[in-house]
Amino acid sequence: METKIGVGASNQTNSFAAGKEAASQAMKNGKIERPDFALIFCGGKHDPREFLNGVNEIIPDTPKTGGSSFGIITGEFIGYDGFEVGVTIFSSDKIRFEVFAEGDLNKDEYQAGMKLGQKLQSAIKDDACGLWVFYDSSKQQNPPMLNFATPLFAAIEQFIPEELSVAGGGFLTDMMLSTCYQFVNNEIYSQHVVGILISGACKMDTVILHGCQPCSDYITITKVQGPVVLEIENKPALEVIDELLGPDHGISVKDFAMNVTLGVNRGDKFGDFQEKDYANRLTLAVDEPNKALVMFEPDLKDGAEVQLMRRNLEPDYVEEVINDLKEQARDSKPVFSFYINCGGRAKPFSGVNFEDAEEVQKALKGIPLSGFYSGVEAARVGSNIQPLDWTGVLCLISED
Amino acid sequence: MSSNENNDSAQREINYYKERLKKLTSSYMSLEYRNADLSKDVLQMSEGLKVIAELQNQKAESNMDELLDSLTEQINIRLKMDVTLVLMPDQKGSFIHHPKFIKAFAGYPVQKVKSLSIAIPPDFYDSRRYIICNKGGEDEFTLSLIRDLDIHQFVLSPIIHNQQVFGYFFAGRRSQLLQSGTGILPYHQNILDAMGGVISAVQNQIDRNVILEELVEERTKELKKEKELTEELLLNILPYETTQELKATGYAKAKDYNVVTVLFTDFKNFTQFSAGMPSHELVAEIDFYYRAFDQITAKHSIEKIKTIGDSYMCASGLPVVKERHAQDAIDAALEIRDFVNQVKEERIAMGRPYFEIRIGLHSGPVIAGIVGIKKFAYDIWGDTVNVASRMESCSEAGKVNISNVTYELVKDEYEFDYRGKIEAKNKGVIDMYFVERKKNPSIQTS
Repeated sequence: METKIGVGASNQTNSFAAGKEAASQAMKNGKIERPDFALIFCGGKHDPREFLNGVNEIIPDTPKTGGSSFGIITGEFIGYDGFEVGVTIFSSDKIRFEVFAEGDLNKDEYQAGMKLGQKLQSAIKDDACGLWVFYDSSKQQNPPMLNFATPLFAAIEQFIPEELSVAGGGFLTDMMLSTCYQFVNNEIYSQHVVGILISGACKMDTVILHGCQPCSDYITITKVQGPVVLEIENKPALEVIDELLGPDHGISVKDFAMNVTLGVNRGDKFGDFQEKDYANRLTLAVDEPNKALVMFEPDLKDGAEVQLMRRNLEPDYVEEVINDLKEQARDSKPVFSFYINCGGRAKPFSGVNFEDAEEVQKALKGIPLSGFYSGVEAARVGSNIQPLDWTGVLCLISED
Repeated sequence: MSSNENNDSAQREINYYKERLKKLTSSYMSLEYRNADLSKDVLQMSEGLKVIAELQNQKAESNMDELLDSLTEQINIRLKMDVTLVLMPDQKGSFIHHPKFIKAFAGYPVQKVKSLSIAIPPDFYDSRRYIICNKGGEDEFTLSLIRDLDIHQFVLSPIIHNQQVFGYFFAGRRSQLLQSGTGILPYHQNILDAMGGVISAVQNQIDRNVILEELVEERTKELKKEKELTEELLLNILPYETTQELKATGYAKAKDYNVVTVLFTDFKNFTQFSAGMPSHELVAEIDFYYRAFDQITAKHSIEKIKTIGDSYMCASGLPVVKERHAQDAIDAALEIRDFVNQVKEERIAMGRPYFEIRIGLHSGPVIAGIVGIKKFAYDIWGDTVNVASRMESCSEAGKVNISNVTYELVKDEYEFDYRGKIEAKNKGVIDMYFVERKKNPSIQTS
C-alpha cells in the first residue's frame, strides 16, 4: 500500500470541535482509509481532554501522541495564538512509529532521560531511521523555570546509535508558562518526555535553521547559577543589557524575555563569522529582584564569553538550507516533512519582517508538512544531541 | 612615531570602533525589540481590519445571534484575546446586562460568567463611553468588571445602534508571565467600534426585513382570504374536480359519462301562483325552497346543475362517477318531495299559499363540461337530460316519477307504483313508475 499522510489544522475556540475538525481534515487531505498513527498538537488555550475527545471522534483506536504547543505549522496554516490545533495522520506499510514515555521530568531530567533511553535502546532495530523527542518544557514553579534539555538529551544519547537522526522539541504553551500536556494514545500526562521511534524502509534527514549574527563585542559572564545569569562583566546582567540597548530605549525590562539572545562562539574568536560555530541561548524570563536573566538552558558557565545576537533571518537562507536537505534525500522519495520551530521565531516575536515558517511552506510545497512552535529545539550537532534556542529543526522523511 | 605612541593610537582606534559598535548595537537592538512589539500590533490591526472587511459582506438575512457568536470567535482568535463576550441587555434599554456568546481559554469560568447579571451604571450607559483597562480599575464599575469577568486587561466597547446602546463588546487578556505584553491598546477599541458600526447596519437591515416580512405576511393573508373567497364562489358554479382541472390546466375538457341519473323538479301552477305575488316575495319564496333543495342534494353528493325559473335540475354520478347514483338521486328526490309536502301542510295550517312539486328522474349517458368564456357554467347534455325532463313533466304533484331505465337500477330497494306505458313528448311511450318509499331503510344510500 502506498504511504498516505494527511495533515489538518483548526483554530476554533471550542476544543472538541477544533480536534474533530483537524482530524477530519487530516483524514480527508491524506485520503486515508486506514489510520495507523497520529501526531496531535493543541494550543495552550484549549482543554486537552476535550481536544483529544474531538480527535477520537474521528480516529478513536489509532495510536497517537503529541502535546501542548505554542503554535501549529502545516503546509497551509501557521498560528501561534493559543487556539490552534494540528493533527497529522499516517497510513503506511513502510513506516512504523513506536511511542515510549517517561515521567517525573520536573524531579530529574537526567533520570527521565536515562529511563527513556533504556526503553528506546531495547526497541531500536536495524531499520530504525529516526527519533523524535518531545518533552514538557514547563517545570511549573516560581520563579519561572524550565525542564532542561541539556541533561535530558545527555542521558538519552547514551542509549541510541550515533548515526540515528534525532529531532526534539520542548513543549511550551504560552507566555504564562501554563501547564503543558503530553498525549500518549488516550492518556494525558504532564512532566513527561515522549520518544517516537521511526523505523522501516525509510530515512529521516534533519537540518537546523538558525539565523542569528553577533552584534556586540564580547562580554563575559561572571556569575551564573544554573540557567540564571546573574552578572556580566561583574555587573548585574540586566543593567549590562540595559546599557547595551542605550539610553531611553523604551523597552520594558520584562520584555528582554524572548528577545535577548546570547551567542557563544566556539570557533575562531576573531575569525570570519561562521554560524555553525555559534550556540545561541535565548532569555526565558527576567529575574527583576536579582537583576538577572533566566536562560532557556543552564549551559552558560562562569567566564563564558558571549555576544548579544541579532536575529537576521533572510528568506533566501531558509530556501538554501531546505534545498540542501532535499539534496540529501535525492535518491529516495520524500513523503513527509516535520518542522519544530522556536516560538520566538514567529513573526510577532522575532522582530523580523517575514514568517520563516512561510518560507519553509514554500520550499516544501508538494510534501505534506506539519510541525509545532516549541520552547526549546534539539538536533544533532556533530555527534551530540544539542539543545538549541531560536532555532528551527526540519526533518524530511523519505521512503526507499 | 614611537612604539608607545603607535600603541596608544591603535588603542584609541580600537576604543573608537568599540564605542561605535556599542552605539550601533544599542540602536539596532532597541529597534529590533521595538519592531517585535510593533509587529504584533500590526498583525492584530490587519487581522481586525480583515474581520471588519469580511463583515461588509454579511448577508442581509443574517441572524443577529449567529453573527455575534461568529464575531466573538473572530475577535478572540484574530485579535489574540483570551476572553471575548458580548454583554446583552435584559431587554431593550435595560441597564442589566448578561454575558453571552462567550469565547475563552480552557480554565475560564464560562458557566459562572454566563450566569452573571451585570448592572451598567446609568451615567456610563447614557454617555456611551468605552473602557480600556490595563493596570487595574480606578472606578467601582471597572473594578466590578475585573472581579466579575475575571480578566485584568480588557476593553469594554459599546455597540451603538440608532443612538442607543445595543450591547457591549468585552475582550480581554490575561497578564503575561514572561513578557510585559502590550495589553489592550486604543486600536483594539477602534476595531471593536467599527465592528459595532457594522452590527448596527446589519441590525437596521434586520429591522427593515422584519417590517418587510410583516407587510408580506399581511398581504399574503389578504391574498389568501381573497383566494378562498374566489374559490368558494367558483365552487358555487363549478364542481370541485372541475375547478381543480381548470386551475391546473387553464381549461376543463367535456367528459362522457356512461350512466348518471338526472333529476328535474317543477312547481305546479307556478305561473298562476306568481301572477298574484309581488316579485320580491316570489323570489324570496323560490329562494326558500331552493336553499332547502341545495342542502338535500349536497347531503346526497348530487351535483346541482342549474335552475331555470321554477325548475331545479341536478345530476347524480358526476363529476365523480359513483355506483349508487340512481339510489342517491331517488333518496334526494323523496326528501325534496317530503320537504315540500311538509311545508304545504304547515302553510295550510297557517292559511298561507303553498307550492306543490313534480319530480322526474331518468338514468343514462351524458356529456358534462363547460362552454363559453364568460359567465361559464358547468352543464350536461344528451338525450338522458331530455328524457329526465319528460319524466318531470309526466309526473304529478307530490310524486317522484322515474323511467323504466332508472327503475331497473333501483327496483329492489324501493316500493313503486307502476303507472304503465305513458306517452312522453317526442320520446314515445315509456314505462313509468312513481317511487313511494324505501323498502329497507337500513341500506346505506351513499
